[in-house]
Amino acid sequence: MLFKKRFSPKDEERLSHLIQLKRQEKPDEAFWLRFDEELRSKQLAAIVRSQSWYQRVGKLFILIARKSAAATATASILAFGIFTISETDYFAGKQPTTSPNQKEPVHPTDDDASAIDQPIFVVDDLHSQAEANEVDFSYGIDATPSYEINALTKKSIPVNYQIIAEPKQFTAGHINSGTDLGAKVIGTWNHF
Amino acid sequence: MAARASVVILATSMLASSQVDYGQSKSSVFDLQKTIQGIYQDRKNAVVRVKVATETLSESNEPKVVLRVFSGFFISEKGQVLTSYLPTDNATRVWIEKGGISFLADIVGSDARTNVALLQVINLPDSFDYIKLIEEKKSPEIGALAFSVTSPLDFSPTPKFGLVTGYESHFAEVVFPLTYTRLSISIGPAEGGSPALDANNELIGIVMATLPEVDSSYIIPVKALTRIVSQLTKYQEVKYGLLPIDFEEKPDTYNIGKRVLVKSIFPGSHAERSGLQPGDEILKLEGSQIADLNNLRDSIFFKDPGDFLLFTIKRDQKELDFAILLEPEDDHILEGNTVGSSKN
Repeated sequence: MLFKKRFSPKDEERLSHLIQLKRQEKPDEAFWLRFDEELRSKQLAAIVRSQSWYQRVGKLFILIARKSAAATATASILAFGIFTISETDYFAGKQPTTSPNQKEPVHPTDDDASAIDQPIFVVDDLHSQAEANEVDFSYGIDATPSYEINALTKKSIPVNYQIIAEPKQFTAGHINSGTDLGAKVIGTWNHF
Repeated sequence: MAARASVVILATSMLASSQVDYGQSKSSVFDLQKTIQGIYQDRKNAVVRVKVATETLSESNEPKVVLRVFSGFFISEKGQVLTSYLPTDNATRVWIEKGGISFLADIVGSDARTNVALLQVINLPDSFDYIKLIEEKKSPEIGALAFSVTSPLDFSPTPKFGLVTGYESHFAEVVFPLTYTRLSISIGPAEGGSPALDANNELIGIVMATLPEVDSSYIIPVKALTRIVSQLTKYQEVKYGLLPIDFEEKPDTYNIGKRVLVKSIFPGSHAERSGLQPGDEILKLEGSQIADLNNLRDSIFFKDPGDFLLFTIKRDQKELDFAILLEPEDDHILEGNTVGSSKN
């Protein structure tokens, strides 16, 4: 049997009051912050998922390449084989001068630019790769070379060395005796 | 001589060992030989001879030119070369020689204290190799193999090898600005400025001095070398800071180690006014433990002049902090043996 509850006027008053309260109820700040974040992330996801026309074209090419991989590989191998054979001395009508295992030093000639070693590193072209390379920079300097090395030895440390503690320049005595050239002499070759 | 002695010792010990048969030891020696040959072949194209012509006056006051010769090596594809200290004021002409060909160079900067100069080769060789500076490169342990490729006298690049034999920041009374690595590689005339390498064929330093009495040499470690190169590039010199404090190292018998103490402070200096006292034990510098004078000198070397250094010291069983200014050396005129990083 169906039963229908009858509301008393008092109950109805309570119910309307409750509905009124519910209507005034609003979400707090945290809810709106979360809502904003979720909205942004959904928008971002939508942007990321969208693909440009060239991406779609790229995918199409990949699809075609996959389908025709075997044919492309065969054609490449064939082309490479023809190129290799055509470049060998035998087919070019040249006589090999050395055995394949025998390496002979290459002497570049003036008219054989390809034989000159290529630079190992690419360097900035700020300074011209000059003919100046062939210049002898010792030209006009007739001094005997002084082969130098800084030496630290207990026998030859003067007292003033303790003050500044710089490794001083040592030069071979008979060439440069008494000349410090900007650094101080702490001994000569004879000391050792 | 030391290198040859090392080979003989190594070979003899291998052959004498009853645990290792002759075939095995022979192959080990050949492995070592291959390593040396490999490093030499790989690095010889980076090593150059450096020549500098300097104008000076003879005893009779007549102008004369002095020609000085060093070793050096490329450190970049741009043609930068590291070598021994060169005077920047009176050098009339600097050039490098590689494969018998001369290439003009400029002095970028030079530092007499560490005996390092940085050159820029103007006309680069058609082909050359370079040895990269790896800043994070750790110093090898004592006993590790060390190699060098030098340019002695007028000879072609020459391989050498020995061992890493020690780390020192002073030699007798001579105080270095940082800790140098000692190698049992004998270095002769014109070999200063050569690269030193480890068994991985990586740079461990540049040869800066020879120790003829012990057939050894000192190298500047790569980490310090990187800072030196950076400063030479920026300022054409290395900027050092000065502390008006003299430190000393004493044995710590309780902990079987070393203690670093404040020996003296320059009277009237800001360090003295800060309250630091002779006898204070240095525990930390900028939060890092100071175990010995090597530690302290290295810590100071890597700081910039003008920085404040935070010292943590121990006095009467109490730990105290002092911030001391590392004064720019340019602000001072060195007088006697008073102040200077050399005294640290």
